[in-house]
Amino acid sequence: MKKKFLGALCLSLALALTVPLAACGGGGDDLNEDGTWWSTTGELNKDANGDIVFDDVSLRMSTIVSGVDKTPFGDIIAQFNAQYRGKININVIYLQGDNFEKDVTMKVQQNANNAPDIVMLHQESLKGFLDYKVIQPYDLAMEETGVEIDLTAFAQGVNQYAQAGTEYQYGVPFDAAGMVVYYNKDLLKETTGSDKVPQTRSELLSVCKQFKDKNSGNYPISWEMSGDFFCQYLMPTAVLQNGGYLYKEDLYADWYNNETQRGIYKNAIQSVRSYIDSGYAKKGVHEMAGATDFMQNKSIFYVTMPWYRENIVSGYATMNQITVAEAEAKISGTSVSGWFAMENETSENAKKIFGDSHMFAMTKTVKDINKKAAVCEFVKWFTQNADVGAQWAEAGHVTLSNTIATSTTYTENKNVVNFINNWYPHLDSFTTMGITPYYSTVSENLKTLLSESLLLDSPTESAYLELIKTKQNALNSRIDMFKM
Amino acid sequence: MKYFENSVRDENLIARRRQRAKEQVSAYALLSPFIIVFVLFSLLPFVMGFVYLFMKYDPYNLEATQFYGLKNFETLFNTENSMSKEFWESFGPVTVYALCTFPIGTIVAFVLAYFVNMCPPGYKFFRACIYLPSLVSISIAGIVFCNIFGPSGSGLLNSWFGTNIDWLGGKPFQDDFLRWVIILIVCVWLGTGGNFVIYAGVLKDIPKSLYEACEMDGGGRWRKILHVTLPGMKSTLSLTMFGVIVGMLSLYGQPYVLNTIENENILVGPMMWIQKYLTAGLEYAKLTGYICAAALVLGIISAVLGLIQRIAMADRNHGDKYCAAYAKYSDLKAQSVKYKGGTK
Repeated sequence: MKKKFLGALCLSLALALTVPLAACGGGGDDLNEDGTWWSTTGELNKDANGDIVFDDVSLRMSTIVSGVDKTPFGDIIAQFNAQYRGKININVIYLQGDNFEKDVTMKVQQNANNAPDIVMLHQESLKGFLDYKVIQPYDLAMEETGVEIDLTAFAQGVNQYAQAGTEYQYGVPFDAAGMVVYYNKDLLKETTGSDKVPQTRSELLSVCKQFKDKNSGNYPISWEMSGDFFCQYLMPTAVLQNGGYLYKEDLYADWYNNETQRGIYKNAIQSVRSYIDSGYAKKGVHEMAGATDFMQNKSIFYVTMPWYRENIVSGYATMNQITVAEAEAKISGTSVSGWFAMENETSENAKKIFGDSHMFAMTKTVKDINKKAAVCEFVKWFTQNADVGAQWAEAGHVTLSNTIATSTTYTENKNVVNFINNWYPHLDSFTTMGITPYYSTVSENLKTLLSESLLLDSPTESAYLELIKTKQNALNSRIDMFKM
Repeated sequence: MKYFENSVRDENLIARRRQRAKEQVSAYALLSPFIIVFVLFSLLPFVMGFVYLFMKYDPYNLEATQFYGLKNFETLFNTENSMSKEFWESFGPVTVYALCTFPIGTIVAFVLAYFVNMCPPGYKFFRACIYLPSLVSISIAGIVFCNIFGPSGSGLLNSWFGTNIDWLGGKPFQDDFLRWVIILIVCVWLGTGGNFVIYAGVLKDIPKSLYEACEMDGGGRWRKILHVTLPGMKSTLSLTMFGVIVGMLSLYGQPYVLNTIENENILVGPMMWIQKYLTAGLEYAKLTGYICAAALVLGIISAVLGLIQRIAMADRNHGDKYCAAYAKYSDLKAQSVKYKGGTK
């Protein structure tokens, strides 16, 4: 009996080992003779006029969108499906954070039946997807199918990275999002006696001082410091506004080793801390607590992410027992541009805002030319349609498409006027991480550089420099490990 | 006739075999759900993880996989490497915490079980109340306790008393004592119920005659606990303590949810380190073998500590020490009786 039991156990183990190992097969590069990893099959279905005929093409899309903007995105996709009924249908899978990259890569590498055809990714994932040969050149697909858009007609600050240093363009970056500021118009006027919104750091400090003199128990700035995106974006924004860069061309960091960068990084930390040390903002604030202070008229400014606009406006209306329309008249948007520049407040660098952008890309598993055409048709619809752009802007995402940005539907949208345009006054100064496969490591070290500096009770210059050195070395040694 | 007898015997044998085969099939059928789940989700990941730690393994690029020998361990034990250094440093806070919590967790469960076992009025209600927190998930507990101990503005205590105590902030070994007290409270609150139920069950099984014998020998309540209750529960205590040690070293959920923005990225336990890098960005996929090596090292350390605890609590062979003492005691008692008898 024992022997039989052991035998059965071994057999099941062998079977269990075989199944996943067999499933692992098919992973890897699977290159063509010319070194490319994509291909095209079939012929385009066209009618007598030469127009493409989409015959119920079904597409799967994996998207990184999974927060409060999930619902508006779903609504837009539903509109597309309704408009293209019987022609193209898109099924969306919403994935979160790091699961997104891993899930998509695994499915595409294994050529699984449920591998996505389109991915809606953050630009941070582009290099990783490219290194693992998950996506294929979008410009080539456009050329093959004839469903084209002008890929140069997008804001260049972000669009410049879509080629990832190669000869092809692998995705279409269509929106951007970074830290934004909501402000209370009445409270600002009450404090300063004017409607003028501070544009530079010294103007902001002056407003904060005036507010603090009148309301010593409250904080003029309320920020969502415990939010993931907020922390990821805060330190890079401070570094960029002080004239720094996040990594060198060889992808390593010289935050400490380079004397200029060392000063910039120190200034960046001090610029954030100074708001806290002066009593103008609290540290470690939970997003709900930050929002509550703002909605209770205890803070003039609320720094958070753009996609909370609807919640903030409706929350403000409820708390102050007014209508949403009245609340919309009392709250407006401004940007963090210039907030952290310790020197040269009016320089081009001071205008920079760090964030990320969404882009559409096509996976390498899409081979059938009719499917490629359907993907291109969808991307064209999403990035060139002003109604869609305005709808997506209402969810907090500024469009990067020049076609949408110049359309009256978009420019006259009240949310675009009140918020979007104020959040990103210099869209070409909007900066992303660029092309590095070590995005999460760079981001984590920048984030912890700031968070650990907030733990210092008596911050000295040497303590800051020691922290900068530690984080720089940690990042560089990780990169060494990845390269091993 | 003989042929007939043989054929009947053969038929009986075949019938018995068939019956046994049937029983075996039903036994395997009943066992199969567990075996399948165990093999697929416990044994197989363990075996695969064990294989990966000798390899440079990237789950998303199998062609780049290569045999790495002991290089992953070499890197892990190289404390000049910042990632490895972080791993070893993460043992510090959790070890100190485990040393403090381990007795507290056990004593609290034991004391509660002891008192509830005395069946005071409403003991069933108390029993349910004590077990109830065990059903709460760590995430929910995290939200509840974060709301209680959050910073001023969002924390209930700070808001009530108008204070600004940084309950959940601070750095390990510097100023995060309060944070660990709260983690301890959460651990005890969540984990006591399970051990409490076990102790309460075992306490009922200790023969009353032993308590009576102890009482006859002049033992009070404390001596009864020391000489009857604790020895009677020794094997159970040993087992639960093993669970507590392994649990403490694998501490992950509590520090993950009870923190502030300033210290949320400071790794205070090896399990946090493993979790962080296994779920980190795509670039960390290349380090799967190295992370598996760290997981194995943590497993070995837990096993060694558990083994030490089991050995320390094992029954000792005391030779004939107690027999000789008892014989001496009997002789003295006999002589005393004889002497008393003589005076009568």
